[in-house]
Order: sequence, then structure tokens, then C-alpha cells
Amino acid sequence: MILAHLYVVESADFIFLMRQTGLTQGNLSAHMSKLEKAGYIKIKKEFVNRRPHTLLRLTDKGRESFKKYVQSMKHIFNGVSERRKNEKSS
Amino acid sequence: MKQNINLMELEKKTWRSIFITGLVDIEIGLIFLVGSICMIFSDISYYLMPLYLVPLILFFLVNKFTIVPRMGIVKFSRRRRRKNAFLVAVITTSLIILIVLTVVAKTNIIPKGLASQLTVIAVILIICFSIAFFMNFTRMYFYAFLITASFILSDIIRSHPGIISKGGYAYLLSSAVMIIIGTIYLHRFLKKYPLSEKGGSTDK
Repeated sequence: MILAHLYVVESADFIFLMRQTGLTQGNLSAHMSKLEKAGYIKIKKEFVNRRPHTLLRLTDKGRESFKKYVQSMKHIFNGVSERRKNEKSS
Repeated sequence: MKQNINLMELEKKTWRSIFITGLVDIEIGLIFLVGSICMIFSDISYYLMPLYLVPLILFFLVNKFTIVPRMGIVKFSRRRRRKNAFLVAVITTSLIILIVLTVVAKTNIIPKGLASQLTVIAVILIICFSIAFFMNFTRMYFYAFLITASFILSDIIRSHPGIISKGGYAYLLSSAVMIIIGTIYLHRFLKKYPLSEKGGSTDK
């Protein structure tokens, strides 16, 4: 879900992602750390008007991996729906 | 677990989230409000022109100090930015046509009549529908009819002056509707998204 939201934009900050995904602060932080370690996202921390600001964006590796994941999911669901159609017709 | 990811729908949903604040509705409503005030007080309308800065300044301040701390910041994809640029081109062209029509109407080169009124209505609808379609701002379809109805009403008022003689009063109602709708959305937004104390920090 986090990768999906980052895939459709160029970059987003922590608060925006939290609002869009509906995750809590702690939950999102935990996922972000794992995704950063895996090399899927890049995190940039800075101060804006003396407030901490965290900017996130997908890395090229993250984009490619997510693209492959979506394609494989589509392939699986297309296969499942084809099988169901055949079962119904027989 | 079913995961049917429709990325186009997700992108549209992410983009549409900027309209849940109601700030755009309030902004459009205020611009029309200022426009109607200028039309009502047409004698001093040149001196009232600086009032157009009020909605812009208000938008900037509310967005910076109220919306962004609650909503966060996002940079949309190049595809979305290209779509917005195309929309700006459509709106600019339509506004130029509208300005030319206004100048032509004032100089009486072409006689005022149904054809010129229908052209103005068409331009208004093109601008509003373009904004609604390209920006996925569905409330703009409703505002398109509201603005068109105000235009027609203002023309009727000017042609048949009675108690009200200034066409600008017609736009007061539509601006009020937009501001009220925007305020309702803003109130809901502020209630749903309280200000986070930590801001955007992920520091534990």
C-alpha cells in the first residue's frame, strides 16, 4: 500500500502518506525503515520552518520491483478469472 | 487476500484528496464575490480591483498554516503535471476569447444578441468542464451550472431592472453557495485531521 501510493506520485512527505494510507505514525515508521533497508524507498529528513520534515520517494529499484509485482498480480488474477469462466461453462 | 491494485484509480484518488479541504471552493467563491462587488459598485470598480488580492492572500495563508501541516506535501507525477499544463492552456485560451468578446461587446462592433450570449455561456462551460475533467474536480460540474445560471440571471436583471438593477447581485448567490460548500468541507477536514504535534518526523 505504501509502495502503491509512492508509485503514483513523484514524492510525498510522511504526513501525506499517513493520511493516504490510514496507517498510524508508528506503523508507517516501522514499514518505512524496512522499505528503506530493502532499498525500495529513499528517505530525506530535513527541517522546514524549524519543524522536522520527512520526504519519501521510490528508488528506481523500488519502482521496478513494484511494477513487476503489479504485473504478476494481474497475471495471477487473469488466470483465476479464466479458470472460473471455464468451470462455469463446463 | 485480494489485492486488485488499480493504479490509475489510486492516482486519481490521491490527486482528488487535495480537494477535500474545500479551500479551492472557498477560493473560487471569494473570487466571484469580489467580482460581484465590483459589478454592483461599478462606479468605483477600478478602486475595488485590489480586492482580488484578498482571496489569493487568504488561499496562500490558509494553505501554508492550516492545510499543509495537516495534509502534508506531495509532488505529483510528470503525467499529472502535463495534464495540468494542458488545462492551463485550455483555460488561458478560453479567457482570451472571453476578454476579446467583452471588448467587442463594449465597442459594439458586433451587436449584442443571443449569439454573443451563447458564446459567452459556451466559453464559461468549456472552462468549468475542463477544470472538472482534467483536474478530476467533480464539484466543478455543479459550479459550472451555477455560474452559467448567474450569468443568465445577471443578463435578465440588466435587461429588466426593477428593485435590483445591477447584474452583479446574481453572482452573489452563486459565490455564497460555493463558499458555504467549501466551508463545510474545510470544517470536516479540520475535524478529521487534527494537527500532528510531531509534524513529519519519524524520529522515535
